[in-house]
Amino acid sequence: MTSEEKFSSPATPEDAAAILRQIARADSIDRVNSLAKSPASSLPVVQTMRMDEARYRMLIELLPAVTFMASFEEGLNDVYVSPQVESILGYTQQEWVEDPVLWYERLHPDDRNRWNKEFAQTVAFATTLRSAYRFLARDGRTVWLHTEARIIRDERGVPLFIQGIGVDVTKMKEAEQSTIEYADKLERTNRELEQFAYVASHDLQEPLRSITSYTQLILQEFGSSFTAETRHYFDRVVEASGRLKNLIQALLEFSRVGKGDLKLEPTRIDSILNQVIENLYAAITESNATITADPLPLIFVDRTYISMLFQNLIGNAIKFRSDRPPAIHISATHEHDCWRFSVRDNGIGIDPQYKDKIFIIFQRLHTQERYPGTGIGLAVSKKIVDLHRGKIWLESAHGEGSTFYFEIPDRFGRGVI
Amino acid sequence: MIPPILHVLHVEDDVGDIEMFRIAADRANVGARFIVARDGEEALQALNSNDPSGARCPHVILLDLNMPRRDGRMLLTDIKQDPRWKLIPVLVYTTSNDPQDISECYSKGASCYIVKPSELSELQLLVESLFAFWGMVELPRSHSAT
Repeated sequence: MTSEEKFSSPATPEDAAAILRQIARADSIDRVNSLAKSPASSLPVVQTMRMDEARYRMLIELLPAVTFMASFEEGLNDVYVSPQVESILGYTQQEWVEDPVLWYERLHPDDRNRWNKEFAQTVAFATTLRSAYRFLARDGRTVWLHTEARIIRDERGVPLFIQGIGVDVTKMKEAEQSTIEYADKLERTNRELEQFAYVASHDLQEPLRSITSYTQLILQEFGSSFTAETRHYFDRVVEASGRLKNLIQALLEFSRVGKGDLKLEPTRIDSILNQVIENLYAAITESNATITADPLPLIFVDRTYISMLFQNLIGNAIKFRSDRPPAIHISATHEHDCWRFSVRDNGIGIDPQYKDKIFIIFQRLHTQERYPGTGIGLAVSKKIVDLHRGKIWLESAHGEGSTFYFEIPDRFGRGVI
Repeated sequence: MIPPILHVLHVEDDVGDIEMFRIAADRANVGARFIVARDGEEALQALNSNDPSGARCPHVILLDLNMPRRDGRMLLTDIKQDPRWKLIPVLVYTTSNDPQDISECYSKGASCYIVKPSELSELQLLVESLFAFWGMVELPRSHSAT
């Protein structure tokens, strides 16, 4: 029976439904148009459908996605699916359409409940279905299809079809999953490391104190009867213990930075600078240092940490001075999405080949005798800048002073000068 | 003037620290009586005991923070919440210089917070000052007189 024969009598809504189903199942524009010649096709809903169909049919074949349509009349088993089902899931259109439950079988068992629920919601509330489901391709691969679908209803509001599109987002989902797993692992490892550094530093301190105290006791009680050589050995022990103590303190300090969350608040950098200058008063006076600054902004940062950062950088600038009195200049410019600060000095400079090494904890470029210190100042500085999601780097040449740059991204707005 | 005998409950797990403190006290020739507890649990036992030698109510408690089992932070809370002991001055004596530890101890009612000195000479000075000070101040009389 051809479609023309079937519809020679006056058209009824049921006829319309039948035509619509057939239009949906049509596999070409020509077929769509021939169906539209039948009497039932004069019904407005069919006309509209036909025009839509013609337009969309073109696009359907071109989309890098699977489009589908299923009729409610047949309990969602009367199905159209676009040719891409073959490239995406490995089943031909024919196979897919011929086995009405194939799509449900290929729907991942863990996603079935969710599909049922979301489908029911779409039907009941006339909302668009928008969700991602996993399908098992023919070869067993899991394919994520981001699905958008709508219910097409007749004039009475009765659901006729569900029509939708499924985009293959497998690669994206997999990347997302790896990123989440990686982030989790990283977070765990970081926390363990921080815990470790903190606890280790604490536990290391007690025995060290015993070593120092008892050594000093020995020196006090018996030192006068020691030879100069023996006394010298003991001096070395005390000296080494002192260094170890400083290292442990430094490690503790380093592990404490970033232990809680950042407390971001509007902060005037010029007042931070004033405070830092006050803190470094002794070193500044002793070295006859001059500190100058350009106008400095008000930005969102963690006040305590930024203060620490400036104190580290300026303190270093004073410490690693040349024969001339230190002249230190701080400036700030707004680059497209961040504030870039610089701390420039006229000190001894840093060989450019070490410009990355210096930010590593405990890495030092000089011996203890010449420039005492533990070598964590810059590691802490880098940690602080990293916590603010910024960058820190150095431009310098040996003997020509150094300029440390760091950027703080705009988080809540540009800030003001 | 004969210095008063100060009864000190020394809560500390490190043997070296215990001994060093004692040596410094001896050298300073202060009048002191030490009862030692190696952690919070032992400290509570000592405070609860019926030992007439005065362990039940020390004049001051010298408290380390990082100890096994019940640590100093927990013990401080215990002491300051117990009506029998909450008036006893607690002198926190620890290696930790963590600002958070400091605020927490003061807010829990510690009388002072001392970071353990590493130099012997500093320790000597500290012990002398401590005993001189706490020998001079008035202590709460609510507990049994010794």
